[in-house]
Amino acid sequence: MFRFIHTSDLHLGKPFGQFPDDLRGRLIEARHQSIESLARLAQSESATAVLVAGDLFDTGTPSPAIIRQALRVMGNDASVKWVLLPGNHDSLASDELWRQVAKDKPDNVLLALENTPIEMSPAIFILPAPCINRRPGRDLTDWMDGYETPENAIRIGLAHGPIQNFGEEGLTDIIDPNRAKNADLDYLALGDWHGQIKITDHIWYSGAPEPDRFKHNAPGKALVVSIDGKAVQPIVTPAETGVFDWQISDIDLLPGEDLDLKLASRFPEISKRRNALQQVNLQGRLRLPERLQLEQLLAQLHPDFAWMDIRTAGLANEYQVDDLDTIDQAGALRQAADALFDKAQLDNDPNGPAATALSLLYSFAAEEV
Amino acid sequence: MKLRALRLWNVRKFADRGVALEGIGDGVNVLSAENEFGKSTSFDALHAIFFQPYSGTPKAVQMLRPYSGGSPQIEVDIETDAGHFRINKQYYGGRQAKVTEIDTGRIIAQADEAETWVSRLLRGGSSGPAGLLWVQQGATEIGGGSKTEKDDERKVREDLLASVTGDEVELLTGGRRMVRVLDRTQSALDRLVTSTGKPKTPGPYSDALKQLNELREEEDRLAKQIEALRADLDNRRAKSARLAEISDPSAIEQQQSEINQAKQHLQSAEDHAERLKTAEKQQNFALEKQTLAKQRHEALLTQMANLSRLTEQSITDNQQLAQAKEKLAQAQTADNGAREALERDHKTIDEISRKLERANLARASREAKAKLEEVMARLARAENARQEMETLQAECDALSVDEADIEHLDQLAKRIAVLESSVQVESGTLTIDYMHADGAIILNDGKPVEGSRPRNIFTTEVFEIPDIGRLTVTPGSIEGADKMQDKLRVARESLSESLSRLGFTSVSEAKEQQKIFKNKLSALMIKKAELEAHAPEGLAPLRTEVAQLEGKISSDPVEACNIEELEGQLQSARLEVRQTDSKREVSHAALQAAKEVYLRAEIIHNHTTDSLVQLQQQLGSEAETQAEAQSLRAVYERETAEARAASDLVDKLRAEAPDLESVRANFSRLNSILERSEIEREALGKEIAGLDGRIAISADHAIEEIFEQTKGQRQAAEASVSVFEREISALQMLKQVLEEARVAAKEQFFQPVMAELKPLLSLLLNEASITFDDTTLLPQTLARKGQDEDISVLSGGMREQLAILTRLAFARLLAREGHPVPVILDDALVYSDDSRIERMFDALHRQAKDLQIVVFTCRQRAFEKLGGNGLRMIDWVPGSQT
Repeated sequence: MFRFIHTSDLHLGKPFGQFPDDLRGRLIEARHQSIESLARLAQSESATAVLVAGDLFDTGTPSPAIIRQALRVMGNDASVKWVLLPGNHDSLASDELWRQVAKDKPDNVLLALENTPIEMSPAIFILPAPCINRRPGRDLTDWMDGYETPENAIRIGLAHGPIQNFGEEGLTDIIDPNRAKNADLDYLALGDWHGQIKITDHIWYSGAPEPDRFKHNAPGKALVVSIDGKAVQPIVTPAETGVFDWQISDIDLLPGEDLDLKLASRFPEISKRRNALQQVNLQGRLRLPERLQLEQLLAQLHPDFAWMDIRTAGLANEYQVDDLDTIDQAGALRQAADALFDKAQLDNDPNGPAATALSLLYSFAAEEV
Repeated sequence: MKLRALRLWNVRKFADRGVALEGIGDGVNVLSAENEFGKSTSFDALHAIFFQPYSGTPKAVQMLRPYSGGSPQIEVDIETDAGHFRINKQYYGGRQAKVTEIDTGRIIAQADEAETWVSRLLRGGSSGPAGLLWVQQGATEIGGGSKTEKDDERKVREDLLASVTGDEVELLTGGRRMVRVLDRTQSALDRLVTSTGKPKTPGPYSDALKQLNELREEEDRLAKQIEALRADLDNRRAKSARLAEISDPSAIEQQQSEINQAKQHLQSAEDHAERLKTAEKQQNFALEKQTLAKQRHEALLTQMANLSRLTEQSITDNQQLAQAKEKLAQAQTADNGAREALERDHKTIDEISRKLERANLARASREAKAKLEEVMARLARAENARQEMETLQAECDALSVDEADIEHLDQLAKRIAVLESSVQVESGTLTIDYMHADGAIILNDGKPVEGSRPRNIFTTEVFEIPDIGRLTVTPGSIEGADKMQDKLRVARESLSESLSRLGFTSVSEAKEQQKIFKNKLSALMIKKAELEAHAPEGLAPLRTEVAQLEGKISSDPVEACNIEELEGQLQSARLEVRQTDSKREVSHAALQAAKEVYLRAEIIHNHTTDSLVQLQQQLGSEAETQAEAQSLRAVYERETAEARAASDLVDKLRAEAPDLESVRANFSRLNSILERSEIEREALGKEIAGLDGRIAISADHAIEEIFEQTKGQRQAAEASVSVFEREISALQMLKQVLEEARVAAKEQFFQPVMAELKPLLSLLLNEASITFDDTTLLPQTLARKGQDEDISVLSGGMREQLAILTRLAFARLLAREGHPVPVILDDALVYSDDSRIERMFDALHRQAKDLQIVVFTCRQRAFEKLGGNGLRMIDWVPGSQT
């Protein structure tokens, strides 16, 4: 039986430059911590190996500290072998990186730098397809079909890239979805897609152990894979490993709703908010006072979260007479409000200058009410 | 309300007396009087009766009291819609206030009620419309005064406008709320941008922009570094692959093996070449020996042939020599004959020539002789002429007198004559006319005196007169004659000296000598000419010619002969000689030719003989020669065989020889490949080491990480800038909309007063307009010719005029509202020029259709053109009116 952890796309060294410094530091640290999480997972699940299906590093030139510290963690438990496959971000073209890794790695770290099987044991072979550069443009796993291993040996493919019609960066036509069958693979461990997904019973994307974007709207995970023998269907168990939770919250709003309650129901409980990054997509429509109230509520909630990105492109203003009366019932202020209302209607853009100006007018006028 | 009369008693300058303005009519009323007339007193009194309570003594009331004290009393008749009324107030002692209905005489109100009645009439007391419309002297600014007065007047204006428009100004313009919202908007904008819309520095927007720019620049810089890094990585990869390729040991070994093989080939080729070279040398040597043998053999054969030839030649030469000798003898004989004939002919010529010469000589002698006689005659004449010339020349030399000297003598003589004449004139004269019977003569200084001619007496002279005695004549002292005498004496001395120097005794002698000289000279010239005629070239040539002619004369007796005949003979003889000479030349040439032939034949013969002898000596006997020839032939044949063998060997070796250059080139090429590989390996090693260093540095710097980080930061900065820009856009739009709304509201509020003011303004200025401040409700700016001017910066006259026009506009509004109030102007328009003042008069009259306007002025002349109802101040006693 061969039990191993399938993971990929750690992207160690990813800088997260778009975030403030404090959050950036936490996110970078979380990636490093994911190695320890994987090591703990391997121990807890009695796995003898951790297969990293590419993009261990975010770039071809990570800092020496990133490399060294990652390898140190991997070397802490010599009983667990780490098989590192170059992905498209840390491809073989980054020969300086792999030279440094080869120089500094501990003995339990194996580098899959060639189209040559790695013998884990006489009956277990890893068939790696390392990325030669960022965009190989061809199926690097095709060599697996013809390569012979001892009879009844477990064959596990290890590759990185989009499978046909399915890719992280929209690339297609790369890995043959029939590769597991054609190459007699008991399991094909793939990397590149940051979300965990099953392609077939024998082909999985492990997903990233620590998310790095809102795209997948899911926590970081790895896979615990058990293969009892040749031609036995692998048992694949997802396991959560991530620290930060990247969530997309699509909130539909209508006038008259209890905004406080609405938000509370959509956001995680307070204790979990510190490690939560929220992309809040507001949709629907609100009256001006409600919009003001919503902004105030969100402003109050914002500091609870590690990060909150509020998007109001889909949230329109609903104007009523009362709202405009709040600004003024007559006179120049009312005339100005009416003029902005007309412009906003004409623009039909809830985030356009007229709508925003009207909201500002409302809030300024309301300041003294 | 309209005023109809004003009466004062004991007010200010009118102490203990009263004055009145009666008959104040509708429209424009003018009280035009000099200063100190009481116009301002009238205005103050009018103002006080309406605005100062009877019971108080504020400063305004105190100012009404005369110096002497007492109680000022003021009375005014008014007309309202309710009727005609008389208001009367007395201040200080006996203070009272009373309102009486004039028509009935009924007292309407007294004391405080009277004050109330008056206050209601003016709607708000001093701050009522009258306060707006009553212009005191010097108070031409609208909006001046204390803060309270300003606020009160503002309230009046606002109330007025609000009553006209139906809305308060704050309601229309948004008032304080609008101001606060505008301020809030502006401050939000000011935080982000400047007044020109540029990012405010320092400020969050400019900071965001700056950060974005910095991040963009940094991103670009890092991108370039990454590009360079990737290029280095690619480069290193390529170089490493190349290094591995050329460092392959098997390939190197293969190369070395090829080199060794090539070297062996080269060695073999070089050995072969050496052998060939040796064979070629031997071949050359053999050939040389063959050639030498051949040459020796052929030389011997040649000599033998020569011997045979020479022998035959010798025989031939002998024959030819004999023939040449015979021919030579013949030619000699012919030549001798020709020479003898020529000699004979020459002798003949000589003879004839000698004869001819003698004949010519004889003729020449004859001719010479004739000539000689002629020449000698000429010579004699020439000699004669020469001798005479010499004689004349000697005479001339002896008689020569310088013309200048003669002239000088002549002048002296003339001067003496002139002086003598003068002396005679100056001196006395004595004429003795005496005849002695005996013929005795008178003596003067022992000298007889000639005739009875007058004689000058210059000095004492004694005359002996026979039979009479001695006469002594003394001329006396004649000054002029003395001078003349002196001059004469000097002249005579000079003449004497000159004559002496020249050797003459007298001038006539000198002249005579001169004359003779000239004659001699003339004769000399004639002789000279004669000589030249006979001997133009002189005597010597003549003499020479004579000698020559004498030489030509011969003493030889000459036979008479015909010279022409001799000349003919001579010519024939010469012709003959020529012919003979030609023949001689031919024979001589033939002789020379024969000699040459003979000489040549002799030389050839000798040469042949010498050569034959020499060759015979060299060759020896014929047998020996034959033996030598055979021997040389054998040697030649042997050498020929050896040379052939050597050539065969060379040919063989050449055919077998490899292309040494190709073999050498191949060896060199293979060596160069190896060397180049070594150089390339070394160079690649260095380059890769360099690239390793650069890449390691970039890797250590985690440049791609930093790039990704910067990229993310740049994206965040762009989002932040977008947010700011949206905010700025919205704030700018909000500000614009608010200001537009406010302006529109203002315009709406001030429309009534603007409508009244516009025609009045057009009387003063073309295409001008006024804007009002919605806070103070006062004119704020004047717009004319496209430019806005703040009221405060206008000239005093302009402000004065605008203030009055504004009051007139407000007054019309009040009138339209049904509350007309008179406009009182106390010495207004003091700053206005004549042109403007007339226009203002037009404005006053225009408004006076609906208003009562009372004008107090001290500018009598200027205000004559105002027209209107002229007011006169008359005396008044309280109670005297009805």
